[in-house]
Amino acid sequence: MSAFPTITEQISIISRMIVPYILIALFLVLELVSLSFINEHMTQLPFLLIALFYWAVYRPTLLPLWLVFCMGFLVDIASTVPLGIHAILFTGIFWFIAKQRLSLIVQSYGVIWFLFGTILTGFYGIRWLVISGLNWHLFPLDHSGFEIMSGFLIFPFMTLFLHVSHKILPSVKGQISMGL
Amino acid sequence: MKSFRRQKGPHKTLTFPPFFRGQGIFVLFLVLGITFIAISSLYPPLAERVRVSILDQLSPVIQVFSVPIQTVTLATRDMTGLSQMQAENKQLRADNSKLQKWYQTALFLEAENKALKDLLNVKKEPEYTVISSRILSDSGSRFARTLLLPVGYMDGVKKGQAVMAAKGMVGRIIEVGEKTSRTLLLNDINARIPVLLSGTNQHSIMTGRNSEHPQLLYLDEDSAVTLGTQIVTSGQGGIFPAGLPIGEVVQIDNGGYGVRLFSDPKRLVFVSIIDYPGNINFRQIPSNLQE
Repeated sequence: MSAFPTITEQISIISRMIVPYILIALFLVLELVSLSFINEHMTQLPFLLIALFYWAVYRPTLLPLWLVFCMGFLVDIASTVPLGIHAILFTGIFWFIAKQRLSLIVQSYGVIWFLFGTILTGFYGIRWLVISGLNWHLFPLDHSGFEIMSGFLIFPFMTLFLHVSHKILPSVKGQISMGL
Repeated sequence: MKSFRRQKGPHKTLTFPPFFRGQGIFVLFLVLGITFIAISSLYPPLAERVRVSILDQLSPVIQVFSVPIQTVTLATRDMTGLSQMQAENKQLRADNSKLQKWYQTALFLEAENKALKDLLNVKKEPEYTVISSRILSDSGSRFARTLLLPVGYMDGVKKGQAVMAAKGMVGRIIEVGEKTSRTLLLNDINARIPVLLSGTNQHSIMTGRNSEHPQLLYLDEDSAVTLGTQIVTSGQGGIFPAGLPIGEVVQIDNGGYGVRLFSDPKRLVFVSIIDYPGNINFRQIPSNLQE
């Protein structure tokens, strides 16, 4: 076998590499196009946070921090909260999880799911505190439990898509797949 | 090259890229994010310009996704709410027969009104035009109640214009880009507009609370407010035309008076922006009264 991949192999590798990015872009657009008209409680589902959490645990090299920051910034732009809040939170969560991944990848899926629930609760809590502080107004917390629970429950469905895109990726040194 | 290694498991070696080894890059983004927060809090117009210019570029992509999502949502809602639709249909038929009678009365009153205005030489109200648009997306969060519309200053949208839904006013334009604009809904915490309680000539300020019913502030303590009284724009300040329907008075949880909006902001698909020329409350002195 040749040391250098042929053009066909290169095209195959590139097209397989693109799939996760397309999925992340789709999650980003779903985050931007709020689904609040689906439900009555103005709930925003955390599609992007799920994707960031997944890749931070299973393949952090896929997303450089600047890209995570830019995605958070786009969410800030679309959601009219002060610019930088989602950018900081997404970058912080991604960096923190990626740093802890050596101890996370050996855990069962249930533990990972529970950890996501904890991160999600922390994310909503910190965001609520920061935005309330910046506006000098305590925003109502009604339906917060519903919002967190919705995000927690869609996690397995969303990670299925991410897992499929993960399987398509060309394998590299250090790749760990989800323990499903 | 220094790397983190794990000896057990299906893959023997884990290599972290240099990116994740140092905390420097994270601190850099943290500082950058805090700078953005400070800028958008201290210089909101600058943040607004950044928002609208980026949203102008993103709007085609968002539109591609928002239309099918809205269509699916409406279809789902129609299927699940069949009995509700039947009741609504019955109510609409009854309303329609009433409105037919009112229509005839309105035609008569319009003709009479025009004749009287001509007689008194009253300057005619400028005629409003509307810019109708589908909703591109909404903020959908507990922190802000806004709508993003795929129309901007190229379409004649200006800051401050009133945004109407089928039954009444729902907000006003706060940001305008080339191809997109943002509407602040009346129930957002930053929304405050002068209103009038129909029939009582009592003025008030309606303020959003990020909940379903905005609150009425600065009502006279000794005034009797009747639940169900219609709320319209007062036209004071010249921001909005007078008389735009908004909602009706209800009692709210804090014991005060609130407003149930005629058009539920959570169920909007299309809105109309009222484009009015100049100061709508300005009346020129008739030529026969001028020196």
